[in-house]
Amino acid sequence: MNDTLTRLRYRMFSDRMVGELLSKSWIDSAIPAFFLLIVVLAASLLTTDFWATGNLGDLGRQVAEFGLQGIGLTIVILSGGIDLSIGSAFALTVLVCLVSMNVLGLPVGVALLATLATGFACGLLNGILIGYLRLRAFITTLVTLVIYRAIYDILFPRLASAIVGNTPDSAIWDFVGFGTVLGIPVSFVIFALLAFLLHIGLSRLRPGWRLRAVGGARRSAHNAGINVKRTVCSAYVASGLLTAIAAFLFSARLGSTGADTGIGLEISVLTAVVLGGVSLGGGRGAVGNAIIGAVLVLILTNSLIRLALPGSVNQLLLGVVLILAVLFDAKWVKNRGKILNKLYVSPAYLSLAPRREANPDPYVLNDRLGATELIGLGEVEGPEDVILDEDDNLYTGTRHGTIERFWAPDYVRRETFAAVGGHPLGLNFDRDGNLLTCVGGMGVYKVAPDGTVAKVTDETNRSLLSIIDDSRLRLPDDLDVAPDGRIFFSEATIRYDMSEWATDALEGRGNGRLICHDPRSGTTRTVLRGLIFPNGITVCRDGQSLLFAETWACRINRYWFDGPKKGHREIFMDNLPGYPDNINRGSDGTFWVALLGMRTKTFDLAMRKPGFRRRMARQIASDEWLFPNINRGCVVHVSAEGAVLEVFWDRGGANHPSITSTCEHKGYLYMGGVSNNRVGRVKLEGADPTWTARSDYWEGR
Amino acid sequence: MRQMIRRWAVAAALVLASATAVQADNQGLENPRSTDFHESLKGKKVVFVPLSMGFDLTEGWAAVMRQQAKRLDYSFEIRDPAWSTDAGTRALSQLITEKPDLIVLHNPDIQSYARLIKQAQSAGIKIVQINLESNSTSDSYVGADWTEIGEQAAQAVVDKCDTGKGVSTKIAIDTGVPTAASDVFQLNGIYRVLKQHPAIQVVSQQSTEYNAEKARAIMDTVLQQHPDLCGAIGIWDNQDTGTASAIQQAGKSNQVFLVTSGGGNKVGCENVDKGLFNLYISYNVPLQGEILNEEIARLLQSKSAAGEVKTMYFTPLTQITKANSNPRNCWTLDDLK
Amino acid sequence: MLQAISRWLRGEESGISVPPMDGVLKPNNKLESAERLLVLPAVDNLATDGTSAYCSSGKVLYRLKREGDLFGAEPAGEFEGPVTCIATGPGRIAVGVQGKGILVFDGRDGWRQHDLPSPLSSCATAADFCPDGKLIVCVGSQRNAASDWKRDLLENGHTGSILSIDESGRIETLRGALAFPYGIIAHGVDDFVYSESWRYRLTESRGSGVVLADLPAYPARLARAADGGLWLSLFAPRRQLFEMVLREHDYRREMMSTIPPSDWIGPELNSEGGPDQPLQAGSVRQMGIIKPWAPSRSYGLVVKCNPSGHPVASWHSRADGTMHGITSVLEFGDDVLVTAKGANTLLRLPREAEA
Repeated sequence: MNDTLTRLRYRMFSDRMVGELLSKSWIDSAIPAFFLLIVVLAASLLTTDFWATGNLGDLGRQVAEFGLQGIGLTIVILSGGIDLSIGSAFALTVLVCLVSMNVLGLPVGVALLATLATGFACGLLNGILIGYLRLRAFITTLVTLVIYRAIYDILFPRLASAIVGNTPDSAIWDFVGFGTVLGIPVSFVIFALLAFLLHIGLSRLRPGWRLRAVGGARRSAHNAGINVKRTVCSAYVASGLLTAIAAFLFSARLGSTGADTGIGLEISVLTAVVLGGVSLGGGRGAVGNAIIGAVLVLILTNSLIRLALPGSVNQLLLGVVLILAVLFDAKWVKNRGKILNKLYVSPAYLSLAPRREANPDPYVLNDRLGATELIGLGEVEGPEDVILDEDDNLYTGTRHGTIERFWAPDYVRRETFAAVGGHPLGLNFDRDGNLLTCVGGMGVYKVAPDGTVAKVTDETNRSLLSIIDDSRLRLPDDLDVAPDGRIFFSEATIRYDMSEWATDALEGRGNGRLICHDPRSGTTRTVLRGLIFPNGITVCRDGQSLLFAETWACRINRYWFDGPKKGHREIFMDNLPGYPDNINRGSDGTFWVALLGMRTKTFDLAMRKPGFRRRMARQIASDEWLFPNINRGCVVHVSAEGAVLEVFWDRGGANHPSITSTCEHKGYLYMGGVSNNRVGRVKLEGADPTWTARSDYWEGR
Repeated sequence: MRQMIRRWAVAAALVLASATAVQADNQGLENPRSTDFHESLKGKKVVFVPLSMGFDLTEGWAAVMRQQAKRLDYSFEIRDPAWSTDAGTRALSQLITEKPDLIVLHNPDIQSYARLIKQAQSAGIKIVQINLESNSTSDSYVGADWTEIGEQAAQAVVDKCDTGKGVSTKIAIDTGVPTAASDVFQLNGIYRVLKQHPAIQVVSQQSTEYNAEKARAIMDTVLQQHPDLCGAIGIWDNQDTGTASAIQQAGKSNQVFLVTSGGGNKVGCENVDKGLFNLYISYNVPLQGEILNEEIARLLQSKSAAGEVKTMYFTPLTQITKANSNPRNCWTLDDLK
Repeated sequence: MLQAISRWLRGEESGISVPPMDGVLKPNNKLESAERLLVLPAVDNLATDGTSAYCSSGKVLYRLKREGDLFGAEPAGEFEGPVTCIATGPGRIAVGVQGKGILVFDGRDGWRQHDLPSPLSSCATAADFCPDGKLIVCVGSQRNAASDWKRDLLENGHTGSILSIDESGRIETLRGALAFPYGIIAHGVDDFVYSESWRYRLTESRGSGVVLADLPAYPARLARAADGGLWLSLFAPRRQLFEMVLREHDYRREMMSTIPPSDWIGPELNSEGGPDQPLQAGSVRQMGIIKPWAPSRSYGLVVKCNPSGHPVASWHSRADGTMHGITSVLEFGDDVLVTAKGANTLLRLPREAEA
């Protein structure tokens, strides 16, 4: 009863969403966005007519100017620096703009150019000092703050009367300051356009990536060939230009400037940017963060003014909010990785039938693998799959990303056949003799007989309802080739990478899928979803169905991909005493199944207790987790109907504790293990000494 | 005979009626104008947007305005921008959407609120500007005539420092915020007078941004450069406490004739008594407050639209010297509360 | 107290930590490389009366004879059940037999049996004679036999006690509600030091109480050292997983009711065991080897403490070794003998050990 309840609960409410959401890159913006929502709600409740067009239009204009500066500061912070001079630069550019318009009476376009040129110059000075001369950003911008302010303080009094004495007579000027487009203020439209372009640039285009690289890890960016100095300088120039545009909008709106223009602006913009979620350390942040923060700060300050609190209280409150935001940011950045690790593993309920012991028990322990011949002892690490070609040479993948070839007949001479990368797992030859391989972490690759490596596919169609981007292939495991050349391969899990494959065992959920790639059309499509760690695949001799193993479910399934039974799926072998890995054809119409580990009663019990496993994943170190027993494995010889013919064990477990793949070739059985450093070979009594997999597949039988 | 009796009866009835009428207590007449007055003001909303709260001028005005608001039963609110022009523009923009009945506005400079004032007036909000004008006119202005103050100050300094009158003909001018009404128009007044006395040399003209410490530092430097300084004109007493203390520290209180202007509160008067200020031109905050109140009441009652009729009233100035600094010219905040 | 508050504040999540083996307890291979003297099945219970040394192997009591530099074992008695403890005094030897009680042999009257009332009779884990002739006995548990110690651990057992038995056979309970006392050194009925396995600590009967707390492994028997200190053997390691299972009542109960004890998650005397042994992630054989620091269900550890109770030296056999399950240790003349019950081997520590 308890079990049924547990099963239902875990079927209906899956905890995986929390962990997957946290692993998304935009999660850093989610929390400030949430706060923004709360603040907007509070403001609309506390102040009347928050949503009146007048108020929103007003807010829009303020957001335009403040937001542009926020984006500028975000760009600088993304590059790993900080710009304290934006307030003074703002004042200076406002002065230039107003002088051009009011005093000199220049046309709007020229005034805009002059303003931009001033902003450019201010930014360039910062950029050269910090980017090229490698001065410290904080001190340098503090100094330029003082310098620009001083210039403003000197020039402003002389020009003040002239500025306030004249009003420019330009329709465009008034339009920019006060106009609306379909009810939306013009300055907001300009801002929205710029923000959109900058967002694309920062997140999708190379300059943005380079900027983040420099901010996140300066030395590595330099080593990767990015021109760090130029990137940093351009960040400050960008900030200067954005400040100039903000100044232009401000001047159009107010038409005058005072002695206190821009004073304290750098603090408010910094508050906004940090509140919005941009990390002060550099490398993390987006335009969205700047906008969220700007809107937050503006709504906050406006509401405070509206509540008629004394001005000093407003400043105090804003300061407190900034401190809290910075503290939270620091904690979050430090602990995000840890929290994600704790929350990501979401075990599900998996119930395996109790093992029946048949009489006689074919799984009784023996030592038929005790005296294997060893190939490549210590020379190959992680030979997950082994295969032989028509010249009897042995191929196997290693965790160093290479496919090694051992020359027949003694298998002592070895060479690196191909350097693919990742960890080549399943191996199969196609009709033309190309070696197809599933590479863990990368995709499906093909190696021509001369050793050239080509990619077959590394993506499939994305499922709509998956939070994780499952168009990438994280752990393609084994593959097989159908008679018409279609490649069917398994992706063991979409939630974990090669290095953490065993954590999927702890989850026991159907995280894997069966995928088909058609070389004739070049398309890749997901065929079956929700499989529990699909592993070995082999096409049956009818050419219309295939067998695939579901490792943690301890069963092998058969799926028809062609013919009258197309789409039908049934269980081929159930309730295995261990975890099946690769399946390959054997002589006489049989199959070989490698069991990479054996079931233990305690682990089977744990699979029915998802709460226990979840607490285990959170409370104790990953080294201490309960695990499927992959220190013992065996090879099972199976008939075409799924009956166990014989079982091969390594009793001592010294040579082959865990076997992930076997290959029968001319009367010998070859074995490999993904955690092992050797390939084994044992003679099969009574097996057909001429039988090879190639002949079975392509030469008709 | 019967007719006579009827006539006498009617007359008797009349006499009786009027007698009873006369014999009731005299409870007076309802005054429709008073009722109207109170009705038209009741429940209205007045908002004060100062430069900032927390100093004598705005606290004084606010105290006086609050009292009338209490007396006449309309709401009085303050939106405090705390010296920030940006916050002030935002407050004003918000008020335009909120549509109070009347805004009392204190302009940080002559241009910043100009457009917003026009917008507010077209939105139907009546505006009274207090003491610091904007380029845009509105329903009313109550405050000092800065040009007049400048002229008076310059004249006083000229009287002390023209050729042969003082230790030299050098004077220093310290201004506040270059774009504020108090600066632009006062400077105009000062130079109008000085042009007629070309002997007077202006050796320094700097803006202090209402900061006493800055004023002190400036005067310090000026005195070091021109130890024979004869006179100084400051545009506001709150900042000129700095100027005065610099002069005093240099020991030149008897030499330098310092003219300043302000709201006329007790502290300023005490400074005059102490000899720190030689001439204090007061625009008399309590008086301004009363006039403000009158304008508020008038505009709230008035049926005309906002901005239809624009008036201004430049308040009278009092020159306070040691001789006439007395309680009538000087006020404290407690007096007004 | 402060710890309890901080644990309550932080919530359940924080309690699962096992003290690391560091400082004096830094792992080494000295036990693994120690001299292997004899192989006897389930060798245990070293004791000496000054002239001869004794040990047990299953139901048989052995006397150890020096043969040159080595030792030979000759049988000195056989009993009806497994021998669970041995204590020696001047001219006397007491043996605890599972299911029977305590048998004392004092040379004159042969073997005299002291019956222990039934709940106490199966689990006499350690014993020591006082100078005044009284025998102090540790009874590990009233609910489980000595060979069923794993069940007692997983039940969070705390029904152990310490008894004193005088020459007439009168039994007096000195301590109760203990969590599997497994070793004792007695100077008198009110002056003794004992180890409490499931609370992984050494306690003394007077003074401040706890001598050594929060040990990284479960302590077994104690032995006197010539310099006034003591020897401590620790028979199985503590692991985070085991501590966690002890708190997971649902899983633990179902495991104990549906799975045979040898396959339970928990410490063992050795790491051989059958096919259904639970495995931990770090114990997976990678590239053919198991790392020494891999989480292992068994471990070999002997610790020497100085007279004030502080550890000064330790001998280990790690995850890649076999000399695990140290249940008793003995100083015999110049030699320090150690029984690795999990490996059925009698070891002698290298001579430069004592200093």
